[in-house]
Amino acid sequence: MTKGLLALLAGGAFFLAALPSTTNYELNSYGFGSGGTAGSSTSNYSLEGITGEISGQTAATSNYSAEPGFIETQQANVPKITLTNPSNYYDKLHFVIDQQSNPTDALYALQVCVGSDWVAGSCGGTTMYVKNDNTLESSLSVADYQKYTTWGGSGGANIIGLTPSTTYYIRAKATQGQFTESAYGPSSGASTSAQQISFCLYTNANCGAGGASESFSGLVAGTPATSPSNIGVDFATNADSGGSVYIYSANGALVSVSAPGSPITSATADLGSGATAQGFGAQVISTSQTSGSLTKLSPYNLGSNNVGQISTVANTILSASSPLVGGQAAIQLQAKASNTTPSASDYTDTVTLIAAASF
Amino acid sequence: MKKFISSYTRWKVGLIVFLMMFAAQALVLLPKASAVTLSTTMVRLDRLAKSTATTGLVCLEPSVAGDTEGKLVLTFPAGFTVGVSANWTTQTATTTGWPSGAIAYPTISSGTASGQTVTFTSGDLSSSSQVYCFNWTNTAALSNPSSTGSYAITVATQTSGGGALESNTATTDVVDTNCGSGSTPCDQIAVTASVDQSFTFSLSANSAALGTLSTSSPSSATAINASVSTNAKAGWQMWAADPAGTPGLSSATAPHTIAYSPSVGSSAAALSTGVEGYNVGAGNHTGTCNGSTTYASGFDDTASTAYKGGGLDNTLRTVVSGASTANACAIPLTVSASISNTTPAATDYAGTITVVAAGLF
Repeated sequence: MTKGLLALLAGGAFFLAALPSTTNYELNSYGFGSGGTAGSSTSNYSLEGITGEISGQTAATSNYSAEPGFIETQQANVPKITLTNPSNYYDKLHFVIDQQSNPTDALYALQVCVGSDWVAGSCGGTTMYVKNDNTLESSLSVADYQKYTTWGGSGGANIIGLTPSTTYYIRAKATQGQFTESAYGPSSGASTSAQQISFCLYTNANCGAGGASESFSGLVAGTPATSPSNIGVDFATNADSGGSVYIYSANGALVSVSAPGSPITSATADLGSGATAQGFGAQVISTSQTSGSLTKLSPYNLGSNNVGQISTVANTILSASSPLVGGQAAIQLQAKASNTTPSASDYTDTVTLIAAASF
Repeated sequence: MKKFISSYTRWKVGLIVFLMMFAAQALVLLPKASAVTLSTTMVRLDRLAKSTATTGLVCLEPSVAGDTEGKLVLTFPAGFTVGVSANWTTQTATTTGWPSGAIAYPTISSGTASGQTVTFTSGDLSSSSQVYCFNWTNTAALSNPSSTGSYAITVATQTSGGGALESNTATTDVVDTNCGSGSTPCDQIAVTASVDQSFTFSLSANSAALGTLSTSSPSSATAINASVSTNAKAGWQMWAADPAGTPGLSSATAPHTIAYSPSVGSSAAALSTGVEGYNVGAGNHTGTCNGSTTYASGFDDTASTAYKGGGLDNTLRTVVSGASTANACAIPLTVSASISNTTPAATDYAGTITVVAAGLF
């Protein structure tokens, strides 16, 4: 044992010392067994009985190093890993492991440095590990060593539960059987986006052109009228579960001060039907998006003179179930007066459209 | 060096290795240091315009089923004006507009405001795959920032003792207040409308045949409906007149005129058998006659008394009026006549009654 320990300590010293040589010869590789048994183990731990053989000098660049010796040669190859934010993620980032020719049964552990990169092997921020459920925690357990395929293979996987607007760095190490764990490989960094939601309402040509009014001039009894322009809605969010646009109004009806008591009440109805004497409502004419899907919801999703009620309680009129980019919708208002709707020029209502996202 | 090394024994080395392994295991078993992220979080402001008081909706989906929640904490970023605790009333009765499948947040209390934070007590959220929602219902609870832009509101669950469980942020977009003409908030559309005036009037017939008059009983013609449809908000009015030089039922061959009975301006009365007379009565209306319908006393036959009516002259006399709009509001007008033994015989007794109506817009 003393001999083996001496070899261990001496091995360390040799990194700093010149290799033994004479005028004609140089001993490039030599070493000592650690003595005792070749190895011993319990149910949880194993101790390799042979340690440290020098078979060359350490070769290193700024990014990589090749360590000589028996232990080094039986180690897994140092894996690479890349971290990206491919789609404006605010709570997740995507990683892909580069196996570096490790066998398929190699296991990989992923270490994350939050807020800063590693400097001289030391995390400048908070050290975390990617758990086997793809969340981050401060501890690493055996269960968090997973195969390349489990970490998503060539398609990679996402680290989830991250903080918006935060930079993360990641690096990986590999192991394959006992006494084979490599050093961590080079790091890769990426930042989460901020949570984003944008909403714009307009009645002119586009969001920038503004406009916030619709006027039905001269409703004729029994004839449905459409708003002179569509209400434009621009809506986008990077929320994982998308978001919705809601509609409600102050009165739930077109109300006249000069003809009180006889509002044109909003209702879900076919204003083109003779059975509907009067009414007021909204219909989504069209939706479009750059990515994701903005969907018009019932009862606002029909055509012709079918409208959905604009009540005093917010109803969902548009919805997206996933991140939405460039969502746009055109909403038309329709109104119909009956024979007994009092004539007046001051019917009004204030329609409110709002949006919210499910982050 | 050799002397130093030789002082070690195998058991000492083993002890060192054991202690190192123990230390490493202790590091692995450190407790979790970070709060868990809620699976889904949404805060809907019912008004998005800046500097505007608003009610709202809070929804969340926990990611851990095993937690025992007892509190919910909302933390609004700087700029929001958080009202006093008394204004943070909540309810879960109105579920309109909630995310599909969402259920009421269990036993959510009113909020307790402190600075930018509002704390609610609640029941346990038993499922990790369920969205729970509640509304806050008083606009005095929260006022939006005075600057437009994105604001991240923090939503966090806690144990009843205040221990952190899960949290997330929900970002909202606060918009301007100068859209449209410059005064319409950018989350609203001002809708205006005007309804054109309408008025139609019709008579169901233009002639009323009394047949051969008899001294044994007065006669009535089939009623003629005078119908009004109008959206005049103040109602409508109907008048009648007899444009003849000598109003009444006249014969050129006799010549003789059966005068109105009762005379114009008197209350409606029924004709009597054997007593010469001529009148027009207004019966009960049919159709849609909104508001009250008022009959002039001189023509009121709403009690459906036979041969009851009133007299006319050259002046348009009010027969009936409506207080509001009407749709085919029909007033049955009935002319009746009676002769006496001295009424000259003739076959050309005739008269003309003019009926008009107008809306009070």
